[in-house]
Amino acid sequence: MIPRFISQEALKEWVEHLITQFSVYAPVQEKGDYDFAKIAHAEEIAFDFDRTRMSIKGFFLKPEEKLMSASASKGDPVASSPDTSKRIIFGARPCDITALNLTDNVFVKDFYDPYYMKRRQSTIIIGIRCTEKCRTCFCGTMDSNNPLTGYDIMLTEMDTGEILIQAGSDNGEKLFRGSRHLTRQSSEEDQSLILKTFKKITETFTPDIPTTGLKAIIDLGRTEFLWKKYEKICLSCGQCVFVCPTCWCFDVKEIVGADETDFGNLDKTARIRRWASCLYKDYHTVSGGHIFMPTVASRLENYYKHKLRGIPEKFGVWGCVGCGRCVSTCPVGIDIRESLKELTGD
Amino acid sequence: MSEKPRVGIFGMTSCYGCQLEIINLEENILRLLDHVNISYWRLALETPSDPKNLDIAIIEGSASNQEEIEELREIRQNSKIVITIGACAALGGVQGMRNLMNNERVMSAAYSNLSGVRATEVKAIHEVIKVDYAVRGCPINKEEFAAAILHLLAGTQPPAWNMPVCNECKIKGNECFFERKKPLPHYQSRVCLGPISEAGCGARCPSNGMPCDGCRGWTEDAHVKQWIKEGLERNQTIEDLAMLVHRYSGGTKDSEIAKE
Repeated sequence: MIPRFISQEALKEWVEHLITQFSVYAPVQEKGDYDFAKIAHAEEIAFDFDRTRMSIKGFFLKPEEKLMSASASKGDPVASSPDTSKRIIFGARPCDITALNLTDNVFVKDFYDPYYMKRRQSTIIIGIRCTEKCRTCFCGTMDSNNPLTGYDIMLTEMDTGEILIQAGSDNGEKLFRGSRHLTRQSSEEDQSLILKTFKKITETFTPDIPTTGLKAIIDLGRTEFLWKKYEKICLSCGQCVFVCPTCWCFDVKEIVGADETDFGNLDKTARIRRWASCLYKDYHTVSGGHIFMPTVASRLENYYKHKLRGIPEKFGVWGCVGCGRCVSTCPVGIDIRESLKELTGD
Repeated sequence: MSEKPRVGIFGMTSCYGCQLEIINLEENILRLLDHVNISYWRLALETPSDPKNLDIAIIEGSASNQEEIEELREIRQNSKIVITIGACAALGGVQGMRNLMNNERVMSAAYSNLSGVRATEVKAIHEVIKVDYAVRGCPINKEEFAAAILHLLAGTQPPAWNMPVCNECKIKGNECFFERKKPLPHYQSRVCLGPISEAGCGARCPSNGMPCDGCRGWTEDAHVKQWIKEGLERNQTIEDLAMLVHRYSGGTKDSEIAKE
């Protein structure tokens, strides 16, 4: 699709139109922060949002979900089927989309996870490009502010206030069928406007933390000082993990008598999956009581190295997308941007 | 199952609120009774009952006098499995704060005549007898209690929660009460104990707009000193913070931390 333009007013009208066909989730202002919620009207959208409290990973990897149920005596496993009604996430930020692309590598390519995949396939993603840095952003450094795939539509606000529409998939293009009258075609005169806006965005998101020598520094093992320093203050609350768009670890529990409608029936069992955190001792404890990573320092080292060393080697991209949610949620003020600077000696 | 397991429910020093929570299971109690016989329950049984030869003993409350210590030893001898319910049983409870204070002052503030008072140091149940499993919380979460019983009946381990409340709080998508740069809302005079307190309650308080109270006790590797430092940075006094960390577990562990 050749990029088109839409005015801010018409965009709201278009969203109203989408709401009649799909469940639409968009950032709304809630409890002093922004969060994704199902909306009934375009007015509810907080268009001035920088980023949401939680990333969009929870739409695909549910915080808590039943994977299957079974009978204790007969077996009969029945897999749960996730809700696959078509839905739209409106307003995903580029860093979240980059994270989602990385998540696909793990949950689709490495191991096929039907629960994740079904939700992924039934979700249309409309991204909104950032034109300014947010509270804790360092996505320029982590090369995540310009995802090339992973979205169906990408919206970019121009200097003039008009919004540029780029389709990223056939599904995205289809969304504008029947609503073309709300948009206008781009002409040659728009070219300079588009270039000007994108140039400004590129300048805004120029990498500002050095990462070139990071691999060598981590491989040399000169990182101990940092984990030891953080160990003294980290509460092991695990919040950084839950807000992180690229933390996917989960825990699986078997539950007995799990049927709410048939309380006390011991024959009914269920398998529950819920978010877990590698910063908990429990996560590293195995049968017999052995703990693979007994110290907070070793767990922090694992957390950072996974993002800055492990994922880059395996998938060719950073395992951190620079959204900085961990920075604002950390109760003791551990700041990954400072960690990077300390590691690279800046 | 040839014969249904025999269950006894006992109350030590406590408000009996956890036993009330069991009653609050309402019709689901009848479904539990499909699986067990309750042979002793002073709070809820009308007929005289028998606290002997039990398969499961369920104990609420802390040991606060010599009679209770002796009763507990008897219960242990008469039961195969001992489960405690509630914060008092697991940690000493609110009355455990007494251990940190001048005992005589506390006593004379509560009673005009001390001649009949036989209170000893407050002890959690596991400090007196061996406890096999603890359902924590003030009060207990009745669903969690029912789940623990069902797991035992099915011959499997009841769920364990070796993680902080932050886990469940984030799963619920709650606003964080402990973010660093955020000023405390005017109604919030205290800080959240979530990061150092054990989960399992479903983040009950934060989900209802209140910071965590830490009623389930600390996590295994709780970093209490750092939590206190963070509290001080949030303009709390050391006395208030010490009271918070000792509200439920004052008498039973690490009271020296308050001194720092």
